[in-house]
Amino acid sequence: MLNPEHLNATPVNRVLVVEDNAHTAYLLEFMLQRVGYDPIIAANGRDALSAIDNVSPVDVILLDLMLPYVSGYQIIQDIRSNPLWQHVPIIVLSGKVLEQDIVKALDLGATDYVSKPFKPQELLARIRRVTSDADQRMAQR
Amino acid sequence: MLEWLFRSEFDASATVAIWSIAAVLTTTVALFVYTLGLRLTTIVGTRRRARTVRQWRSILASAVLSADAAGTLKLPIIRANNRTDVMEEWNRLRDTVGGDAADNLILLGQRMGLPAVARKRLRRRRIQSKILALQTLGHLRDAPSRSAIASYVAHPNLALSITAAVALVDIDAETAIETLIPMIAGRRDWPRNRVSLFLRMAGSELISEPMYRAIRSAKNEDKTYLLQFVHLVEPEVLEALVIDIIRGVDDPSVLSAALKLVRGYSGVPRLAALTRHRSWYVRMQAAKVLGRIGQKEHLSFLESLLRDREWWVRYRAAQAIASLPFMGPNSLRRLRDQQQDHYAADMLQQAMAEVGLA
Repeated sequence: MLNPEHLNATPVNRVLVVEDNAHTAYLLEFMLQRVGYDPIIAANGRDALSAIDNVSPVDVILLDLMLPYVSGYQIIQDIRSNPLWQHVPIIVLSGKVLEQDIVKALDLGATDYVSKPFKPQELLARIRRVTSDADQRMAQR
Repeated sequence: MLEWLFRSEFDASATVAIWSIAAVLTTTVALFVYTLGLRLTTIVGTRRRARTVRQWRSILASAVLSADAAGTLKLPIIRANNRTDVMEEWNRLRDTVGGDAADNLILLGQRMGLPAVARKRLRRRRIQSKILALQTLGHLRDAPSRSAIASYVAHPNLALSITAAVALVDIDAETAIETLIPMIAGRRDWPRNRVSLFLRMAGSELISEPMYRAIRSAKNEDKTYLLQFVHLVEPEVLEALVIDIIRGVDDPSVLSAALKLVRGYSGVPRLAALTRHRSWYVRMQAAKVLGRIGQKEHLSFLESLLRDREWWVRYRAAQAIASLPFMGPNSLRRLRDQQQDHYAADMLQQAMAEVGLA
């Protein structure tokens, strides 16, 4: 379930983590908190869509593809068609490693794709890169 | 105290009834107490497990992020009844991360004493213990256990054998892959996703050569099976293998499997012969390949497939023609109008309609 505290949180360094595996979600939450991000955990596709409807846009989304109720692909489409959230970078973090899965996610609008098992430092570097790219785009507007 | 029960004024049936009620009541109370005990034991066990997992999760997560933490963190004592939970937790995390994080977890696992615990568990009779032990030893890259693990690869129990196979690749991919690849065709019970997993863990560079040899020397039905995994080898080896098979094999199922793997024009042999193959399925795959290759010189082959006696072959040939990069709307209409065979013209018309050119 989403933490109601996040409904009005300042949109700085916030990461929406959409991950149904409790162990992976815990690790991501731990990692992100360690380096100063504020993670919001959604344990399934329905919670993720609820976050998109009820929470102000975050800085980056970490998204698993195989989720209960709503697939990760559907979530990418919903985010990209949402006027408030469409510019939020999405990093897919998935155990799906086939070329067609990666291409499909990127074609639908994912910003980056990281396969599981993942390298934590590399993932953090990718998060830093997409958030700084997004900051630069915002500054240019 | 119960002497009133044995008084003579009670007849036999009343005595039996009273004794039965007493027995039922006693049994009910005993069962209630037993159930309560079981429930309490479960609750206490679950809480203990949750406490242990909570305690270890933060230690494991800290180790994932830093080699220093993995080497220096103060570790709580692992009680015998918590060992399985801690091992499972360690394995789950080890499955999730790679690179330096995996090395950190191995260092932590050694400090936790997991190699000794896992080796001991591998000798137990219970299958679940053995599986957890195999997984742990693999994840620890415990080289001294390699021969013990290898003895389980040929085990008739599917879970044991595939877990052992993955563990061997974890420990020493180069040696393991030489043994495992020749076994794949014979172990059709191994789940394909687990086979793909250990091939991917080993990497395309290591698996290319043994896979090439295994497929070339396999019987036709095994060739078809092995070709499912061939997309994991290096692209140039895949290309050489596919060309080899197309050149030298006539079995329809092998040929079809190989044709599905053709991606671009790289001197695919026997194309003309394949468009006249006795199996309609091969002819259909040939039509699809010609569409993917997209060369002008092959248009005549596709035209002849457009007049094939099999509907699917005509359909795929028409789709292939409509997708050719050098065939614009006017060329397609001209080709359609030139067809003497009205089945061929109809099929091309349908394929053109599918891409909005009707």
